[in-house]
Amino acid sequence: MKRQLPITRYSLLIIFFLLLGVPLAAMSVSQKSKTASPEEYYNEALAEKDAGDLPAASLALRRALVLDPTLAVAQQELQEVLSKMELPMESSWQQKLASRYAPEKITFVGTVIGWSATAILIVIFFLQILPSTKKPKRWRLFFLVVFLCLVGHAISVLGVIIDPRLHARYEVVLLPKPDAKAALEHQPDRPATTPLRATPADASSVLAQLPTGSCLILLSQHGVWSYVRTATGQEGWVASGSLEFLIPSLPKAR
Amino acid sequence: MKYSLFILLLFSNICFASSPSVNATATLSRNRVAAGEVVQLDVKVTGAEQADVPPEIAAEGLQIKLTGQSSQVQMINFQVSSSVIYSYIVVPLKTGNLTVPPVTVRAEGRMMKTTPLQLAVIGSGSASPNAPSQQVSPMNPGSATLPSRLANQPSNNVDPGRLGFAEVVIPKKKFYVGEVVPVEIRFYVDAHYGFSTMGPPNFGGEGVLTDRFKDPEQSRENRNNLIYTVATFRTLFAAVKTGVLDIPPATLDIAVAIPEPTPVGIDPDLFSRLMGGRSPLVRQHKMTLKTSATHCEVMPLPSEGRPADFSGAIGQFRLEGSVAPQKVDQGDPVTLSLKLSGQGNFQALKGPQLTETQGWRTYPPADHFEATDVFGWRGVKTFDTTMIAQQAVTATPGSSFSYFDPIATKYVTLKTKPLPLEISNATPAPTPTAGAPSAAGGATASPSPAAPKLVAGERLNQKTERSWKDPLHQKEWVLTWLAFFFGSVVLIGIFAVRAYSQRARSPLDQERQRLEELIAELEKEELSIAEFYDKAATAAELFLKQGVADVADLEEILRRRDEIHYGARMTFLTAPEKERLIKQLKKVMGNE
Repeated sequence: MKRQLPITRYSLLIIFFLLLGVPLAAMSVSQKSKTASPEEYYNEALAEKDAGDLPAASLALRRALVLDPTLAVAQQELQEVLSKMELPMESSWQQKLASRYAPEKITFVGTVIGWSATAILIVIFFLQILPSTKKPKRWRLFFLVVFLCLVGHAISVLGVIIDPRLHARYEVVLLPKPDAKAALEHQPDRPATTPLRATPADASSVLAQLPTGSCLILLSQHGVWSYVRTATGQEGWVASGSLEFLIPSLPKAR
Repeated sequence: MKYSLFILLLFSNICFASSPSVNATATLSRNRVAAGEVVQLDVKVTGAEQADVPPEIAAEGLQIKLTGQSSQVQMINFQVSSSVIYSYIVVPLKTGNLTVPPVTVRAEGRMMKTTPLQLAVIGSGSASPNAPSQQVSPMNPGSATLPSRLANQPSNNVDPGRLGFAEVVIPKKKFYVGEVVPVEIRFYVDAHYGFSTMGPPNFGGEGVLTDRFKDPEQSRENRNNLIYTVATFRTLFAAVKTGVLDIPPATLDIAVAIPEPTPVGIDPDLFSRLMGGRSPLVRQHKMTLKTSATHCEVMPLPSEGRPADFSGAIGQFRLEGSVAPQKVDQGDPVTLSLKLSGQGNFQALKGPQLTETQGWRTYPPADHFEATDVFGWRGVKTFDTTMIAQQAVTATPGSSFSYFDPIATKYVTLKTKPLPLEISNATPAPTPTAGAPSAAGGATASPSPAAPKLVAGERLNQKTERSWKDPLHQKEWVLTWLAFFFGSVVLIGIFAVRAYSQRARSPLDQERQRLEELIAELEKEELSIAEFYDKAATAAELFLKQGVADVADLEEILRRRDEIHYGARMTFLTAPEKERLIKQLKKVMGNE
């Protein structure tokens, strides 16, 4: 009594598109939504640095690194600029990993591996070659495919997690405007510090003086005041007008 | 209502106290000194726990260097005040009326300046008229010291003189100015009595800088056939002026629990058991334990042989260097780690100076200290300097560190050699010692043919486009991912349903399943002969229906079934015969 493999033309078509479509779709994703150039931000930072506006240079360098965390020259320049401003250089494991391997590439490779292995798994189940077989080679192949499926998707998730754009949506840089006198004299001097206040009022008590160029986490916004968290975990209110989002396409704080 | 008002007042008091004003003041330990003597300058910042002060203060005729800091927090009538004192050592370089300039202090986001101070430096040998005289305690070292207040109190048969005493242990009484000396202060309390400390010990005085006390270590010790509980406090101290140094007695306020007699009518044993074996009633005796005064001789650092890069390090040190990574691309940062190990004034230690830094861009080093003893006197301080090669180099910078060795009584300079590095895309650097012309007649080495590397500071001409959105926020990405996910789920579901339905609808599969069940039932021992042959005959009929067996193979089973049902003869079924029939059916089933 011989079994007939339940393969139909329709099913083969679906598998074919699945195998071919994964890399194509992933490539199409990497090709779309292009809106800015990290090199332009880097060149802008050099111009700001030459003009003596180190906080603005640090913002442009941070933006360049959000777009391309592997841009080594931007990392060096940012380190130098922050050192001149006597600000610490933030460094987490995500940033370190992203500076070595481009998150987009990691995500792409993980996606291709994960979904290809998933497609092969479907084929294996579709052909029903496992339940009735006693051949150890097929079982080894089966477990290898399962392993690749899990590892591929895990790599894909890792690429997303270390992507600086994921966190940059909530990050702002303290960049107060030059005062009126400095602006009239065309000097880029900005106030050295900005008060972090306990409540959203000018008369509120000052919790700390935040140095210009500090990177903060924006927790919420209420009109002209923003509630932020500093790198040391201190939370308080600053004027929204003195903040610049790391991602410029987001609505500007006012 | 009364309590509410009280709590409101208390809260408002605390709130008021939590926002103190910040100010900074500077004081000199003496305003008139002889040439060769040093003065201590204290910059006190009140209303802040931390402040930024310059490590050195430039002043004409004076050398002023930061030597340490101490902080204190006080709470008086619910008003909390904190202050931090930065101590400088002031060395006059000439005689005359000199001015200590205003010190710029940055605290709580405010910039402040202290008032300038006048210091009169007179010729060598003249005594300072307003130098404070030290009161030497008449107590003998190691003797018990109790305050007169406690001595006047009735003590309920407890001898206050035997309650406790204190002693201070300083390993040497003759040392150099700025040299850090470990000190151990032991407070002994009769082990029969419990006690609690009321704050840290008070130790130090004019001309002495002390570090913060570490947490005390508690132990038991037998002295004169009496067991004492010993609280040992350890710290480091340094002298900031030369000459005879009288350190006032160290004191510690404690509260001793003195047992009280049990009230009349109460069984003391029962009461004691109820209290967990402790004395039922105790009275708190506040007292102050006090050591004897300490006399030391502080010597000035010798001026001859003082290296130019000497920055105040006193002790015994070793210097080691390492670099990581050892193989980098040009433009990548490397970290040069310089480890200073040994014993001495680690807190005021400045890092080694880098030498031969040509071709390198260096950044201020980050340092961290790991103590290897309880004092923080011995340990390892590591200075990590991040550097980026600006040109083709084959080695890191070297380093140099000078200190004064108080045992050898001389200055010592430690050096590390440049460490070799492998930098890819770099042209081989010319050897500094190579004075002879090269084999190519002095021609410079040709540049590497590798592709040009991006160099920091230069404009970038190429332009790549990237999205501001991360994958999770890209619509294309999310839709593609979800499409694949649901597609896979749907495919798996379709195949699973299809396989199940195929298996359920096939009559062949159904009959096969029925045969498997029948053969399994035949192997059961509890079946009667009639039941066995009935089931065996059913299986045989199914086989004949499928056409997988001949009638001749299964005729015996069908005949015996009929004999049992319709014949009058008794029929037996032996175990071998049963086994043979089951085997026969299985064989037929295997022929499928």
